[in-house]
Amino acid sequence: MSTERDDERLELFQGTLDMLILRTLLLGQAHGHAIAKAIEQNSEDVLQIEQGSLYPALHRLIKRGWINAQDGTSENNRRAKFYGITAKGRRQLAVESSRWDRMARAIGLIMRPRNQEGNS
Amino acid sequence: LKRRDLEKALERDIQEHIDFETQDNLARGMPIEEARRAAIRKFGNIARIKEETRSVWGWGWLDQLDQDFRYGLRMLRGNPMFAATAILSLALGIGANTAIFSIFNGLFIGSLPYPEPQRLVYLHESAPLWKMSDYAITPADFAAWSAGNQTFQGMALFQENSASLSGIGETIHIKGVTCSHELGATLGITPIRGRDLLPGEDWRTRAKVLLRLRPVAE
Repeated sequence: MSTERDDERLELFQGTLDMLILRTLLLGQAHGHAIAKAIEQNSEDVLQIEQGSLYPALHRLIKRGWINAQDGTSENNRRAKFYGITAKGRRQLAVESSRWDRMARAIGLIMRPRNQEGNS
Repeated sequence: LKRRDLEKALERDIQEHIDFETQDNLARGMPIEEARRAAIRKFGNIARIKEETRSVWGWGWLDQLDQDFRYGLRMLRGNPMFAATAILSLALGIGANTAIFSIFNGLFIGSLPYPEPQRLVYLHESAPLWKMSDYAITPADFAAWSAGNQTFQGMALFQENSASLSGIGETIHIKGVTCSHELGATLGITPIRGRDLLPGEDWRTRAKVLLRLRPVAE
């Protein structure tokens, strides 16, 4: 637990978590804890998710038919619920990630205008 | 039933998650107690997360209602004075309403206080040209109706009236009806004391017999 680095961690936007879960599950089925760990590690520990907040999100995604859940055993032989992305979920991920790209670009354009003098 | 399954599954998921995180913490060399505490801290507010997950299931409003109800009951039990006041004001409010309604019902809605009120019919004439909806029936018409009556068991003529009654004491104003002698029989009532009007004791003979009406017990 790196308490000294807490200031550098970022809270997630509302709705962004859904997209990150879908993206993580694109790599294969995973249980809740593995998803949380993957998001944190793949963001170089910058994205701080309150791990519990994963569960309302997972249930929301199941309800929308974007992911499904089945029981299985984890790598260290423990019983766990595994979540996997559905075809509908893949389509949704495409929509979300293109929206995200446009938004990131738009924010980038405002924050770092190319032809402005004296910017860093 | 399905709801309880979901609830159990969620509980299990959360436990598993915390177990996984505890394992990771142990692997990082934390003592068991701290590993578990850190895992729970990292998970967040379990009650709130369950709440949010339940609201995804879509029974949020029902849960809320249930909770509000329980909360209300707890509050009432915890504060007997307040509970008594609340219950008393409700009781008074409902009681007053009921009382007023029963008066209204008795006066305007309820059935007439006679035996077999469903068989009573009020016959009247109207004079639309004069915009009179309830026009007094003449004794001659009544006599003709009675003579030709094959529909009703009995018929009686009455007209609302009022008079001043003077005697030994104070003069009082009384409301009443002037009626033909058949009225009591037609309505199916008999005097508690004294006697009913006899044939001949009505306007036809100008007899003046008074019957005092008392509230009829139902």
